[in-house]
Amino acid sequence: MNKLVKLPLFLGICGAACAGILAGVYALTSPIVEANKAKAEAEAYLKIFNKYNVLNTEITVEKTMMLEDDTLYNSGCESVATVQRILGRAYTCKATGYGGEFSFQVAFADGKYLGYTDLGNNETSGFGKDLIAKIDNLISNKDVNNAVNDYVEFSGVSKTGKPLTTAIEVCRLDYLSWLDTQSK
Amino acid sequence: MKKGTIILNGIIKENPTFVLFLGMCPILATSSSIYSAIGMSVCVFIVLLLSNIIISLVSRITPNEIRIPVYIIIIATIVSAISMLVNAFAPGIYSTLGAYLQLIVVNCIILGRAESYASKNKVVDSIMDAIGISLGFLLAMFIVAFIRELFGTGCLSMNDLSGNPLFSIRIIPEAFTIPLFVQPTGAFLVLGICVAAFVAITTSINNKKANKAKKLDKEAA
Repeated sequence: MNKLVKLPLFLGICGAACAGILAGVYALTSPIVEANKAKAEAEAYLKIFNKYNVLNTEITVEKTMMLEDDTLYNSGCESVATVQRILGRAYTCKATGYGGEFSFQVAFADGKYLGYTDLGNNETSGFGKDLIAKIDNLISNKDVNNAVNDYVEFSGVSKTGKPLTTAIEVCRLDYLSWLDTQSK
Repeated sequence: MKKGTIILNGIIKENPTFVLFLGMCPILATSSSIYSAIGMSVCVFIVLLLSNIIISLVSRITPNEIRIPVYIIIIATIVSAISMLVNAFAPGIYSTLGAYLQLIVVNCIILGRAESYASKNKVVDSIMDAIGISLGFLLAMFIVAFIRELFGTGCLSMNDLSGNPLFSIRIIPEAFTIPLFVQPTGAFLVLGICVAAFVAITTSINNKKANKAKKLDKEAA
């Protein structure tokens, strides 16, 4: 066979075979990955409300995309968990920092910031990673009527700090408006 | 060559890190803890084993002009598949290794051994070579990670496949730890010292063997 035909044909067959294998592996693993993600999210919600001894059955999770805007640093809220008994809300968010996309949960209850849980990031040690590690301590038990920037400073790590605080701020405002509806 | 010799070569004589200086990037990037080092080593072993087997099988039918692109397609497929499987069944390791798992595609060890060994030898020999080289890589990763984690954090710790901590033993008090060891600078320093020590030890052993052989020759003469 002519080399001009044989070589691309061989390469094409290799590529097609490999693509088929990858499609099969993806079909096998995709449901497992989604189930792992949902399980981690549910466990994180339970953990973040741990202080109030909240049961799994008390948590109502809604899937909602609250914020998805390129101008707002690719931040987005994937789900919102509500606990009526303690007037608490927790948000699972994604944002894009210096090291790429990272996800986290931030919760509010009883008119205060409840806490922050890191769900995975590729930030750099000494910069974004350190900022994310200390967020929980900076905002826990603080008054939710104050903006998150009142408690969190991030000079030198703004590429991670800005998307992070923007996302938390949007969640805070959503919580405040939800709190208003509950009090009416 | 005996099968055992092939494996031993990969660990000592042709150690991919300390002798061949291949795969430097994953060593420096993922040796900050023993957990990530072992995770990376296992992934490299699986990729190397599968790529050596497949490339050894297809090398005879692969046209010489396109052998490198074909090898790269095969290696990239294996790495992508392994990455998806690790994400599904060992999410802790997946999140720890991060981008470095996908970067195994461009790890010199994989393509280097495929081109220099697997494509020119039988399947069984290629399997032995993959085992030897992977063990050599694991040895290097473990030594560097052990030193970095011990002196950098003062602890030796291990997690399970989901990333949940299994144990953490404090050996050195926190006040006496040297955080530089867990930084990239520390990685270079530790790796350099380990390479120097490895070369010194192997050179000393080789010199002793050479002197012994000379003595025996003299006595025979």
